[in-house]
Amino acid sequence: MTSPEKSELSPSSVWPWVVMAGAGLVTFVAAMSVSPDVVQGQLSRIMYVHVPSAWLAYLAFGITMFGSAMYLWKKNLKWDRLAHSSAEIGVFFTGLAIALGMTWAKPTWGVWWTWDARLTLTAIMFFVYLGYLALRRTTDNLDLRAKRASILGVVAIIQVPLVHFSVVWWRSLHQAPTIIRPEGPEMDTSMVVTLLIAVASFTVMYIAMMIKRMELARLDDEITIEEQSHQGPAAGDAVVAPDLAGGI
Amino acid sequence: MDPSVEWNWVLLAYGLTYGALVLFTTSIAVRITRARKKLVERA
Repeated sequence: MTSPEKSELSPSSVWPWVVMAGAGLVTFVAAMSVSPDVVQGQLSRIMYVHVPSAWLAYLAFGITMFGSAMYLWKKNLKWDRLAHSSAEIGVFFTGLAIALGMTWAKPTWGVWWTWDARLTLTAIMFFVYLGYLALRRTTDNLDLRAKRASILGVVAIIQVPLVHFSVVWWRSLHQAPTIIRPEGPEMDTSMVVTLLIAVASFTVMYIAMMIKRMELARLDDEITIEEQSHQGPAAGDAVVAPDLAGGI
Repeated sequence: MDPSVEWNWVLLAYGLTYGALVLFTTSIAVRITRARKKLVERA
């Protein structure tokens, strides 16, 4: 087993929380300053939190895949902690993107939810990564847990391109890409700039969140190792299976 | 749609976003505090 580095419980840094608050403030000010859309009016402001949330879901699950692959290769638990931390944040932002999408859908489409390809695949991705987090709770053995989760972490990434290109591959109620497309952005420059500011701010927020979430993952691993080192043998540990092969 | 109604939806979306962010980051902070306390008690 690869044990986590002992933290020696140095004081927990405060600056990631400050960075998160600052990034949140920048997004809010930028989103409220830009002119409303000519068709959607004020509702277009929802885009500046909905799109960055969806972007962070993609980024977080991409980092989960990277951490999982690195764990399977190097067998070092720090990569598993990276994958786990990113998956939890990814689930949070996927849930937020879905909730914000529903808040935008109701006044524009007239319904909270529809079984559109983009929405359905995003919901499936949300539940698969919830399953990833649940899978991690099936054992206290750190290496076994990391191995199981890493396999799922690598396989589950297939959903990200499926979700992203669903609006291109299938007829969808959800709008097609408006920024990254061969003909160039389909939006006014001020809206594109505001959206890029929001995406950058959310990315900074993700990095700050990851620093704190990985600190938590390291502490949790230390506690698990500590508990296991004080545990006596489990019931059944002393039972030796009979050698039945010798009798045949 | 009436702009004031549009603003209500915008407020709902931003309230949801920042409310969820505060709850999630608080949950991380609380779990870190508990974990550190647990490790200190056992040291």
